[in-house]
Amino acid sequence: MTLQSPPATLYSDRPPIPSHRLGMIVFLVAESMLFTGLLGGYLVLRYSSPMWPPEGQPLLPLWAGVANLIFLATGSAGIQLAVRAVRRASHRGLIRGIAACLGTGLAFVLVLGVEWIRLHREGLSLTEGGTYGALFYVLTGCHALHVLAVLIWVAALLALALRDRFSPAHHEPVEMAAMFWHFVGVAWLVLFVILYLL
Amino acid sequence: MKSRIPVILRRPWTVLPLFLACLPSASELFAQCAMCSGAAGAGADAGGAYNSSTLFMLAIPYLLLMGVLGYVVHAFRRPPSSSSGEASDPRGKGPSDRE
Repeated sequence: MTLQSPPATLYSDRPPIPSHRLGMIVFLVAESMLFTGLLGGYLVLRYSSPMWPPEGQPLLPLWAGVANLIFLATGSAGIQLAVRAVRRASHRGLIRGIAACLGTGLAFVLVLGVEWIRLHREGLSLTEGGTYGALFYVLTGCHALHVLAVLIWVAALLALALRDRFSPAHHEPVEMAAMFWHFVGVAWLVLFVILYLL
Repeated sequence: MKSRIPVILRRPWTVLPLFLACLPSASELFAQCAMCSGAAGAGADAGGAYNSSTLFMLAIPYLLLMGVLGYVVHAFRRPPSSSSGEASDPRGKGPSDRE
């Protein structure tokens, strides 16, 4: 009598969804609900307002939103290349991918900072002009905090990668950072459409 | 041998009739929440704003759930060897191109 081996997906040592990936998915779903709540509040205030933006308040410049979208998309490509490189045991590819991601993230923060300063000088504030300024600063500020968090993470990854701490069998932190970065990019895409285009 | 994977993961299209059954009520979504509209009171279209916001916040968790379930289905149906491309080196140090 010949025994057939069971399907590998059911009985292999490695689960179909690794624990670190599952944990990251749960975390990102929770983060998504944070942004959903903020955007829900924005939609109520935005569409119950008779005029948007309120009189005397500056328009949000489209170029900054587009530039930041491009930066985050480029960073996503960079970190994904880093993940692919570490799976192929390409140390140089890993360093280059992480460095590209770090550079685009810093560019994002720089553009957003310049944008905030310029808008503040034009009269967009947290307390004046109704909820327009407060909503903008809270939504983009919450997103910027996430970008800063992932930037610190990516900087730590770069330091570890320079010490050759990652390998094809051990690169979970790089993969998790990539997931977080992709999430931050998608969140900015949604924010960009709702804040700048609608 | 009977598979341990739930039927909804092996054949996700089996839930399609459930979605189709919900379609006839879709047009009524924007006609709901009359009390909320009344309570919202002031503003250009406060009732409509509350309604849109509520639908938005209602839809996102379902979209997230569908996305996660889609990923779970994909992960269970994928051959294990192509999951993440790890090397078979037990020490975890694959060949490196570092110079």
